[in-house]
Amino acid sequence: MNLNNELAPPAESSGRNEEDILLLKRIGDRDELALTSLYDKYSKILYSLTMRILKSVDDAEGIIHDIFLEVWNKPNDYQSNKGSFFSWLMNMTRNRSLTRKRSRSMHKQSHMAELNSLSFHTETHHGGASSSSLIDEYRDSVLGAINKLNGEEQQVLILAYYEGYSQSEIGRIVNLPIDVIKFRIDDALRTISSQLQRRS
Amino acid sequence: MSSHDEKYSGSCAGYAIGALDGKDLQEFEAHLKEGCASCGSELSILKEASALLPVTIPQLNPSPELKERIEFSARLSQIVRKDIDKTEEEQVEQPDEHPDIKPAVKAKHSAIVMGMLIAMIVMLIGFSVYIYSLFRTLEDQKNAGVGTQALLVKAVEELERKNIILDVFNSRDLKLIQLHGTEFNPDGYGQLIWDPAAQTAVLHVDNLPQAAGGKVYILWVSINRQYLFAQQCSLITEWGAQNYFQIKFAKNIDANDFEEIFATQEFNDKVSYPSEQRYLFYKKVK
Ligand SMILES: [Zn+2]
Repeated sequence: MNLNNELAPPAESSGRNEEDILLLKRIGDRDELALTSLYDKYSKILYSLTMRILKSVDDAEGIIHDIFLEVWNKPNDYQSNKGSFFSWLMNMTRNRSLTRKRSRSMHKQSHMAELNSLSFHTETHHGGASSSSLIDEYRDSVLGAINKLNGEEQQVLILAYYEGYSQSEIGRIVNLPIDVIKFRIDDALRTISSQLQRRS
Repeated sequence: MSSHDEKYSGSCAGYAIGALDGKDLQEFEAHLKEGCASCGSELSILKEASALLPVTIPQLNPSPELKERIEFSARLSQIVRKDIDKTEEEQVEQPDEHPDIKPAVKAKHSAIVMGMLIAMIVMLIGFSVYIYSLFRTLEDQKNAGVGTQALLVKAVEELERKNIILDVFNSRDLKLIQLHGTEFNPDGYGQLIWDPAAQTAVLHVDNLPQAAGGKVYILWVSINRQYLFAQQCSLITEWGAQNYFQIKFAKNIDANDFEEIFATQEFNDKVSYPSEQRYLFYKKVK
Protein backbone atom coordinates (compact mmCIF):
# COMPACT_ATOMS: atom_id res chain seq x y z
CA MET A 1 0.00 0.00 0.00
CA ASN A 2 1.31 3.39 -0.88
CA LEU A 3 0.22 6.35 1.19
CA ASN A 4 1.69 9.05 -0.94
CA ASN A 5 -1.10 9.55 -3.42
CA GLU A 6 -3.72 9.22 -0.76
CA LEU A 7 -2.16 11.38 1.95
CA ALA A 8 -0.53 14.73 2.36
CA PRO A 9 -0.02 16.56 5.66
CA PRO A 10 -3.32 18.12 6.81
CA ALA A 11 -3.67 21.63 5.43
CA GLU A 12 -4.29 23.40 8.75
CA SER A 13 -1.13 21.88 10.22
CA SER A 14 0.99 23.74 7.67
CA GLY A 15 -0.58 27.02 8.87
CA ARG A 16 0.30 26.09 12.43
CA ASN A 17 3.84 25.30 11.39
CA GLU A 18 4.28 28.69 9.77
CA GLU A 19 3.21 30.29 13.06
CA ASP A 20 5.71 28.11 14.93
CA ILE A 21 8.52 29.01 12.56
CA LEU A 22 7.79 32.68 13.16
CA LEU A 23 7.95 32.08 16.91
CA LEU A 24 11.28 30.30 16.48
CA LYS A 25 12.59 33.19 14.46
CA ARG A 26 11.62 35.57 17.26
CA ILE A 27 13.34 33.25 19.75
CA GLY A 28 16.43 33.50 17.57
CA ASP A 29 16.15 37.27 18.05
CA ARG A 30 16.01 36.63 21.82
CA ASP A 31 12.34 37.52 22.26
CA GLU A 32 11.29 36.00 25.59
CA LEU A 33 7.60 36.46 24.81
CA ALA A 34 7.95 34.12 21.85
CA LEU A 35 9.27 31.42 24.17
CA THR A 36 6.31 32.01 26.48
CA SER A 37 3.90 31.71 23.52
CA LEU A 38 5.47 28.45 22.48
CA TYR A 39 5.25 27.21 26.06
CA ASP A 40 1.57 28.17 26.34
CA LYS A 41 0.86 26.43 23.08
CA TYR A 42 2.56 23.10 23.67
CA SER A 43 3.54 22.60 27.32
CA LYS A 44 0.30 20.85 28.23
CA ILE A 45 0.46 18.11 25.62
CA LEU A 46 4.22 17.64 26.06
CA TYR A 47 3.78 17.39 29.81
CA SER A 48 0.88 14.96 29.46
CA LEU A 49 3.03 12.78 27.21
CA THR A 50 6.01 12.69 29.62
CA MET A 51 3.65 12.01 32.53
CA ARG A 52 2.05 9.14 30.59
CA ILE A 53 5.49 7.63 30.05
CA LEU A 54 7.22 8.44 33.34
CA LYS A 55 4.40 8.91 35.87
CA SER A 56 6.61 11.25 37.88
CA VAL A 57 6.02 15.00 38.18
CA ASP A 58 9.69 15.72 38.94
CA ASP A 59 10.99 13.74 35.98
CA ALA A 60 8.35 15.11 33.61
CA GLU A 61 8.91 18.73 34.60
CA GLY A 62 12.68 18.26 34.37
CA ILE A 63 12.39 17.02 30.81
CA ILE A 64 10.00 19.80 29.74
CA HIS A 65 12.27 22.40 31.35
CA ASP A 66 15.32 21.13 29.48
CA ILE A 67 13.50 20.91 26.16
CA PHE A 68 12.17 24.48 26.24
CA LEU A 69 15.56 25.76 27.37
CA GLU A 70 17.15 23.95 24.47
CA VAL A 71 14.67 25.46 22.02
CA TRP A 72 15.56 28.84 23.52
CA ASN A 73 19.30 28.28 23.20
CA LYS A 74 19.27 26.50 19.84
CA PRO A 75 16.15 27.45 17.85
CA ASN A 76 17.92 26.50 14.63
CA ASP A 77 18.12 22.84 15.64
CA TYR A 78 14.66 22.41 14.15
CA GLN A 79 14.81 21.98 10.38
CA SER A 80 11.53 22.59 8.62
CA ASN A 81 12.32 20.18 5.77
CA LYS A 82 12.17 17.29 8.25
CA GLY A 83 8.52 17.70 9.27
CA SER A 84 6.48 20.01 11.47
CA PHE A 85 7.91 21.70 14.53
CA PHE A 86 5.15 20.11 16.59
CA SER A 87 6.13 16.56 15.59
CA TRP A 88 9.82 17.39 16.11
CA LEU A 89 9.02 18.63 19.61
CA MET A 90 6.83 15.63 20.43
CA ASN A 91 9.44 13.23 19.11
CA MET A 92 12.20 14.83 21.19
CA THR A 93 9.99 14.77 24.30
CA ARG A 94 9.06 11.15 23.77
CA ASN A 95 12.67 10.07 23.14
CA ARG A 96 13.92 11.82 26.26
CA SER A 97 11.11 10.40 28.37
CA LEU A 98 11.71 6.86 27.13
CA THR A 99 15.46 7.20 27.74
CA ARG A 100 14.76 8.33 31.30
CA LYS A 101 12.31 5.51 31.77
CA ARG A 102 14.83 2.92 30.55
CA SER A 103 17.56 4.20 32.81
CA ARG A 104 15.15 4.19 35.74
CA SER A 105 13.85 0.69 35.20
CA MET A 106 17.16 -1.04 34.58
CA HIS A 107 16.87 -2.72 37.96
CA LYS A 108 13.25 -3.76 37.90
CA GLN A 109 11.66 -5.27 34.83
CA SER A 110 7.93 -5.72 35.15
CA HIS A 111 6.42 -6.43 31.76
CA MET A 112 3.38 -8.12 33.20
CA ALA A 113 2.45 -5.24 35.48
CA GLU A 114 2.66 -2.85 32.55
CA LEU A 115 0.50 -5.05 30.36
CA ASN A 116 -2.34 -4.72 32.84
CA SER A 117 -2.45 -0.98 32.49
CA LEU A 118 -2.49 -0.92 28.70
CA SER A 119 -5.42 0.93 27.28
CA PHE A 120 -5.98 4.05 25.28
CA HIS A 121 -8.23 6.58 26.93
CA THR A 122 -11.06 6.40 24.51
CA GLU A 123 -13.49 8.46 26.53
CA THR A 124 -13.66 12.17 25.78
CA HIS A 125 -11.52 13.84 28.36
CA HIS A 126 -11.04 17.50 29.12
CA GLY A 127 -8.34 17.84 31.75
CA GLY A 128 -7.70 21.11 33.55
CA ALA A 129 -9.31 24.45 32.95
CA SER A 130 -7.27 25.70 30.03
CA SER A 131 -8.11 24.24 26.65
CA SER A 132 -5.70 23.61 23.84
CA SER A 133 -6.82 24.25 20.29
CA LEU A 134 -4.51 21.55 18.99
CA ILE A 135 -6.02 18.93 21.25
CA ASP A 136 -9.57 20.07 20.50
CA GLU A 137 -8.79 20.00 16.83
CA TYR A 138 -7.44 16.48 16.59
CA ARG A 139 -8.80 14.54 19.55
CA ASP A 140 -11.98 13.28 17.88
CA SER A 141 -10.25 12.17 14.69
CA VAL A 142 -7.48 10.34 16.50
CA LEU A 143 -9.96 8.73 18.90
CA GLY A 144 -12.12 7.71 15.95
CA ALA A 145 -9.11 6.09 14.32
CA ILE A 146 -8.03 4.32 17.50
CA ASN A 147 -11.54 2.96 17.95
CA LYS A 148 -11.25 1.41 14.48
CA LEU A 149 -8.23 -0.61 15.64
CA ASN A 150 -8.81 -3.97 17.27
CA GLY A 151 -7.57 -4.65 20.80
CA GLU A 152 -4.37 -6.35 19.62
CA GLU A 153 -3.40 -3.43 17.41
CA GLN A 154 -4.09 -0.95 20.20
CA GLN A 155 -1.96 -3.00 22.59
CA VAL A 156 0.99 -3.19 20.21
CA LEU A 157 0.80 0.53 19.47
CA ILE A 158 0.80 1.40 23.18
CA LEU A 159 3.72 -0.93 23.91
CA ALA A 160 5.71 0.68 21.12
CA TYR A 161 4.72 4.31 21.56
CA TYR A 162 4.34 4.84 25.30
CA GLU A 163 6.41 1.99 26.68
CA GLY A 164 9.15 2.32 24.07
CA TYR A 165 9.50 -1.37 23.28
CA SER A 166 10.96 -2.49 19.96
CA GLN A 167 9.13 -4.90 17.70
CA SER A 168 11.14 -7.89 18.92
CA GLU A 169 10.63 -6.93 22.57
CA ILE A 170 6.89 -6.65 21.94
CA GLY A 171 6.99 -10.02 20.18
CA ARG A 172 8.50 -11.55 23.32
CA ILE A 173 6.02 -9.80 25.63
CA VAL A 174 2.89 -10.85 23.75
CA ASN A 175 4.43 -14.09 22.49
CA LEU A 176 3.95 -13.52 18.77
CA PRO A 177 6.34 -13.52 15.78
CA ILE A 178 7.99 -10.19 14.85
CA ASP A 179 6.28 -10.11 11.47
CA VAL A 180 2.88 -10.08 13.13
CA ILE A 181 3.94 -7.22 15.41
CA LYS A 182 5.39 -5.32 12.49
CA PHE A 183 2.18 -5.72 10.53
CA ARG A 184 0.05 -4.56 13.47
CA ILE A 185 2.15 -1.44 14.02
CA ASP A 186 2.01 -0.66 10.32
CA ASP A 187 -1.71 -1.19 10.05
CA ALA A 188 -2.48 0.79 13.21
CA LEU A 189 -0.43 3.84 12.30
CA ARG A 190 -1.68 3.88 8.72
CA THR A 191 -5.30 3.67 9.90
CA ILE A 192 -4.72 6.72 12.11
CA SER A 193 -2.89 8.55 9.37
CA SER A 194 -5.70 7.92 6.83
CA GLN A 195 -8.36 9.01 9.30
CA LEU A 196 -6.49 12.27 9.97
CA GLN A 197 -6.25 12.84 6.26
CA ARG A 198 -9.92 12.20 5.68
CA ARG A 199 -10.95 14.87 8.19
CA SER A 200 -9.05 17.62 6.42
CA MET B 1 2.41 -5.65 -4.24
CA SER B 2 5.89 -4.83 -5.56
CA SER B 3 8.99 -6.23 -3.91
CA HIS B 4 9.85 -2.70 -2.77
CA ASP B 5 6.52 -2.31 -0.97
CA GLU B 6 6.79 -5.72 0.56
CA LYS B 7 10.29 -5.15 1.82
CA TYR B 8 10.31 -1.49 2.84
CA SER B 9 6.86 0.10 3.08
CA GLY B 10 6.00 -2.29 5.88
CA SER B 11 8.96 -0.91 7.84
CA CYS B 12 7.97 2.76 7.61
CA ALA B 13 5.51 2.78 10.52
CA GLY B 14 7.83 0.82 12.81
CA TYR B 15 10.67 3.16 11.95
CA ALA B 16 8.48 6.24 12.47
CA ILE B 17 7.79 5.27 16.09
CA GLY B 18 11.25 3.82 16.75
CA ALA B 19 10.07 0.21 17.10
CA LEU B 20 12.11 -1.23 14.25
CA ASP B 21 15.16 -3.13 15.41
CA GLY B 22 17.73 -5.71 14.36
CA LYS B 23 18.15 -6.60 10.72
CA ASP B 24 14.95 -4.76 9.72
CA LEU B 25 16.34 -1.52 11.11
CA GLN B 26 19.73 -1.91 9.43
CA GLU B 27 18.18 -2.70 6.07
CA PHE B 28 15.65 0.10 6.25
CA GLU B 29 18.24 2.69 7.27
CA ALA B 30 20.48 1.60 4.41
CA HIS B 31 17.51 1.92 2.04
CA LEU B 32 16.73 5.43 3.32
CA LYS B 33 20.35 6.42 2.83
CA GLU B 34 19.97 5.50 -0.83
CA GLY B 35 17.40 8.31 -0.91
CA CYS B 36 14.12 6.49 -1.61
CA ALA B 37 11.66 9.36 -2.10
CA SER B 38 8.61 7.14 -1.64
CA CYS B 39 9.70 5.86 1.79
CA GLY B 40 10.93 9.32 2.80
CA SER B 41 7.56 10.82 2.10
CA GLU B 42 5.57 8.00 3.75
CA LEU B 43 7.80 8.29 6.76
CA SER B 44 7.17 11.98 7.22
CA ILE B 45 3.39 11.46 7.01
CA LEU B 46 3.48 8.62 9.52
CA LYS B 47 5.71 10.61 11.87
CA GLU B 48 3.22 13.48 11.85
CA ALA B 49 0.41 11.03 12.59
CA SER B 50 2.29 9.40 15.46
CA ALA B 51 3.04 12.80 17.01
CA LEU B 52 -0.72 13.32 17.35
CA LEU B 53 -1.36 10.09 19.29
CA PRO B 54 -1.02 11.83 22.69
CA VAL B 55 -4.00 14.13 21.99
CA THR B 56 -6.11 11.25 23.29
CA ILE B 57 -4.42 10.77 26.67
CA PRO B 58 -5.65 12.63 29.78
CA GLN B 59 -4.39 16.20 29.47
CA LEU B 60 -2.54 17.42 32.55
CA ASN B 61 -1.38 20.91 33.39
CA PRO B 62 2.20 21.30 34.60
CA SER B 63 2.68 23.36 37.75
CA PRO B 64 2.79 27.16 37.27
CA GLU B 65 6.32 27.08 38.74
CA LEU B 66 7.55 25.16 35.70
CA LYS B 67 6.79 28.09 33.43
CA GLU B 68 8.56 30.46 35.83
CA ARG B 69 11.53 28.13 36.04
CA ILE B 70 11.85 27.95 32.26
CA GLU B 71 11.54 31.71 31.82
CA PHE B 72 14.05 32.23 34.57
CA SER B 73 16.56 29.74 33.16
CA ALA B 74 16.17 31.29 29.70
CA ARG B 75 16.90 34.75 31.10
CA LEU B 76 19.85 33.40 33.04
CA SER B 77 21.46 31.73 30.04
CA GLN B 78 20.82 34.96 28.17
CA ILE B 79 22.64 37.08 30.77
CA VAL B 80 25.61 34.76 30.78
CA ARG B 81 25.88 34.66 27.00
CA LYS B 82 25.42 38.37 26.56
CA ASP B 83 28.19 39.14 29.00
CA ILE B 84 30.63 36.77 27.35
CA ASP B 85 29.93 38.33 23.94
CA LYS B 86 30.26 41.80 25.39
CA THR B 87 33.52 41.04 27.17
CA GLU B 88 34.99 39.66 23.98
CA GLU B 89 33.87 42.70 22.00
CA GLU B 90 35.32 45.07 24.57
CA GLN B 91 38.63 43.28 24.49
CA VAL B 92 38.81 43.74 20.75
CA GLU B 93 37.53 47.29 20.66
CA GLN B 94 39.20 48.75 23.73
CA PRO B 95 42.95 48.26 23.73
CA ASP B 96 45.13 49.51 26.57
CA GLU B 97 45.35 53.14 25.38
CA HIS B 98 41.84 53.69 26.78
CA PRO B 99 42.43 52.91 30.44
CA ASP B 100 39.45 55.14 31.43
CA ILE B 101 37.04 52.51 30.05
CA LYS B 102 38.04 49.84 32.55
CA PRO B 103 36.18 50.99 35.68
CA ALA B 104 32.89 51.02 33.72
CA VAL B 105 33.50 47.48 32.51
CA LYS B 106 34.29 46.39 36.04
CA ALA B 107 31.13 47.99 37.39
CA LYS B 108 29.11 46.16 34.76
CA HIS B 109 30.72 42.88 35.75
CA SER B 110 30.05 43.28 39.42
CA ALA B 111 26.42 44.13 38.63
CA ILE B 112 26.21 40.85 36.77
CA VAL B 113 27.82 38.92 39.59
CA MET B 114 25.33 40.62 41.93
CA GLY B 115 22.56 39.46 39.59
CA MET B 116 23.92 35.95 39.75
CA LEU B 117 23.92 36.06 43.53
CA ILE B 118 20.31 37.15 43.53
CA ALA B 119 19.57 34.42 41.03
CA MET B 120 21.23 31.94 43.31
CA ILE B 121 19.09 33.01 46.26
CA VAL B 122 15.92 32.74 44.18
CA MET B 123 16.99 29.32 43.05
CA LEU B 124 17.51 28.23 46.64
CA ILE B 125 13.73 28.44 46.92
CA GLY B 126 13.43 25.56 44.52
CA PHE B 127 14.58 26.32 41.01
CA SER B 128 16.61 23.96 38.90
CA VAL B 129 19.00 21.98 41.04
CA TYR B 130 21.44 21.88 38.19
CA ILE B 131 21.76 25.61 37.72
CA TYR B 132 21.64 26.12 41.43
CA SER B 133 24.66 23.90 42.00
CA LEU B 134 26.42 25.59 39.11
CA PHE B 135 26.02 29.01 40.67
CA ARG B 136 26.84 27.81 44.15
CA THR B 137 30.12 26.60 42.72
CA LEU B 138 30.66 29.83 40.83
CA GLU B 139 30.26 31.71 44.07
CA ASP B 140 32.79 29.44 45.82
CA GLN B 141 35.23 30.13 43.04
CA LYS B 142 34.62 33.84 43.23
CA ASN B 143 35.47 33.71 46.93
CA ALA B 144 38.63 31.83 45.99
CA GLY B 145 39.64 34.80 43.82
CA VAL B 146 38.76 33.49 40.37
CA GLY B 147 38.02 36.39 37.98
CA THR B 148 34.51 37.25 36.82
CA GLN B 149 35.24 36.54 33.20
CA ALA B 150 36.70 33.13 34.00
CA LEU B 151 33.54 32.34 35.97
CA LEU B 152 31.32 33.35 33.11
CA VAL B 153 33.33 31.27 30.67
CA LYS B 154 32.90 28.32 33.02
CA ALA B 155 29.18 28.95 33.22
CA VAL B 156 28.81 28.85 29.46
CA GLU B 157 31.00 25.76 29.22
CA GLU B 158 28.81 24.10 31.79
CA LEU B 159 25.61 24.98 29.94
CA GLU B 160 27.18 23.62 26.78
CA ARG B 161 28.17 20.44 28.57
CA LYS B 162 24.51 20.02 29.46
CA ASN B 163 23.58 20.47 25.81
CA ILE B 164 26.00 17.75 24.77
CA ILE B 165 24.24 15.40 27.15
CA LEU B 166 20.89 16.35 25.74
CA ASP B 167 22.16 15.71 22.22
CA VAL B 168 23.45 12.32 23.25
CA PHE B 169 20.10 11.56 24.90
CA ASN B 170 18.36 12.28 21.66
CA SER B 171 20.34 9.65 19.84
CA ARG B 172 18.57 6.62 18.40
CA ASP B 173 20.62 3.91 19.97
CA LEU B 174 21.89 4.31 23.49
CA LYS B 175 23.49 1.93 25.91
CA LEU B 176 23.01 2.69 29.57
CA ILE B 177 25.55 1.33 32.00
CA GLN B 178 24.79 1.73 35.66
CA LEU B 179 27.71 2.28 38.03
CA HIS B 180 27.27 1.49 41.72
CA GLY B 181 28.87 2.61 44.95
CA THR B 182 31.57 0.53 46.63
CA GLU B 183 32.50 -0.32 50.21
CA PHE B 184 34.53 2.91 50.35
CA ASN B 185 31.70 4.93 48.96
CA PRO B 186 28.38 3.13 49.41
CA ASP B 187 26.20 6.07 48.28
CA GLY B 188 28.12 6.59 45.06
CA TYR B 189 26.09 6.43 41.91
CA GLY B 190 26.90 6.79 38.25
CA GLN B 191 25.57 6.22 34.81
CA LEU B 192 27.43 5.90 31.55
CA ILE B 193 25.18 6.86 28.67
CA TRP B 194 26.89 5.47 25.61
CA ASP B 195 26.16 6.42 22.04
CA PRO B 196 27.84 3.72 19.93
CA ALA B 197 27.32 5.52 16.62
CA ALA B 198 29.12 8.65 17.80
CA GLN B 199 31.66 6.69 19.88
CA THR B 200 30.98 9.10 22.67
CA ALA B 201 29.41 8.87 26.07
CA VAL B 202 28.24 10.97 28.91
CA LEU B 203 29.13 10.01 32.43
CA HIS B 204 26.83 11.25 35.14
CA VAL B 205 28.15 10.84 38.67
CA ASP B 206 26.60 11.59 42.00
CA ASN B 207 27.66 11.28 45.65
CA LEU B 208 31.39 11.13 45.12
CA PRO B 209 33.50 12.54 47.96
CA GLN B 210 35.94 15.37 47.24
CA ALA B 211 39.12 13.90 45.80
CA ALA B 212 41.90 13.81 48.41
CA GLY B 213 44.48 16.62 48.28
CA GLY B 214 46.20 16.81 44.91
CA LYS B 215 44.31 13.85 43.48
CA VAL B 216 41.82 13.71 40.65
CA TYR B 217 39.17 11.18 39.72
CA ILE B 218 39.92 8.93 36.80
CA LEU B 219 37.46 6.71 35.03
CA TRP B 220 38.85 3.38 33.83
CA VAL B 221 37.42 0.70 31.62
CA SER B 222 38.73 -2.80 31.30
CA ILE B 223 38.48 -4.68 28.03
CA ASN B 224 40.03 -8.12 27.58
CA ARG B 225 41.55 -7.73 31.04
CA GLN B 226 43.48 -4.65 29.93
CA TYR B 227 42.89 -1.44 31.81
CA LEU B 228 42.24 1.55 29.58
CA PHE B 229 42.49 5.00 30.99
CA ALA B 230 39.23 6.53 29.88
CA GLN B 231 38.95 9.99 31.25
CA GLN B 232 40.19 12.31 33.91
CA CYS B 233 37.21 13.74 35.74
CA SER B 234 39.10 16.37 37.66
CA LEU B 235 36.20 18.83 37.65
CA ILE B 236 34.63 16.96 40.52
CA THR B 237 37.15 18.53 42.84
CA GLU B 238 36.13 22.00 41.73
CA TRP B 239 32.47 21.70 40.95
CA GLY B 240 30.80 19.78 43.73
CA ALA B 241 29.84 16.15 44.01
CA GLN B 242 27.26 15.90 41.24
CA ASN B 243 28.48 16.23 37.70
CA TYR B 244 28.37 15.30 34.06
CA PHE B 245 31.34 14.50 31.85
CA GLN B 246 31.73 13.85 28.20
CA ILE B 247 33.80 10.75 27.60
CA LYS B 248 35.63 10.08 24.36
CA PHE B 249 37.61 6.97 23.67
CA ALA B 250 40.71 6.97 21.53
CA LYS B 251 39.73 3.87 19.57
CA ASN B 252 36.46 2.29 18.49
CA ILE B 253 34.92 0.36 21.30
CA ASP B 254 31.81 -1.77 21.45
CA ALA B 255 29.95 -1.17 24.72
CA ASN B 256 29.45 -4.95 24.96
CA ASP B 257 33.23 -5.32 25.35
CA PHE B 258 33.32 -3.44 28.64
CA GLU B 259 34.22 -5.90 31.38
CA GLU B 260 34.60 -3.41 34.19
CA ILE B 261 34.22 0.32 34.54
CA PHE B 262 35.29 2.09 37.68
CA ALA B 263 36.56 5.34 39.13
CA THR B 264 39.66 5.79 41.26
CA GLN B 265 41.47 8.76 42.73
CA GLU B 266 44.97 9.24 41.34
CA PHE B 267 47.68 11.82 41.71
CA ASN B 268 47.79 12.74 38.04
CA ASP B 269 46.47 11.78 34.64
CA LYS B 270 49.61 9.94 33.57
CA VAL B 271 49.10 6.86 35.71
CA SER B 272 49.00 3.67 33.69
CA TYR B 273 47.48 1.34 36.26
CA PRO B 274 44.58 2.01 38.62
CA SER B 275 45.06 2.07 42.38
CA GLU B 276 43.11 -0.31 44.60
CA GLN B 277 40.35 1.88 46.06
CA ARG B 278 37.38 2.17 43.74
CA TYR B 279 34.66 4.75 44.19
CA LEU B 280 32.22 3.65 41.52
CA PHE B 281 31.98 0.26 39.98
CA TYR B 282 30.38 -1.70 37.16
CA LYS B 283 31.09 -5.32 36.32
CA LYS B 284 29.65 -7.14 33.35
CA VAL B 285 27.45 -10.07 34.30
CA LYS B 286 28.70 -13.11 32.42
ZN1 LIG C 1 11.59 2.94 -0.35
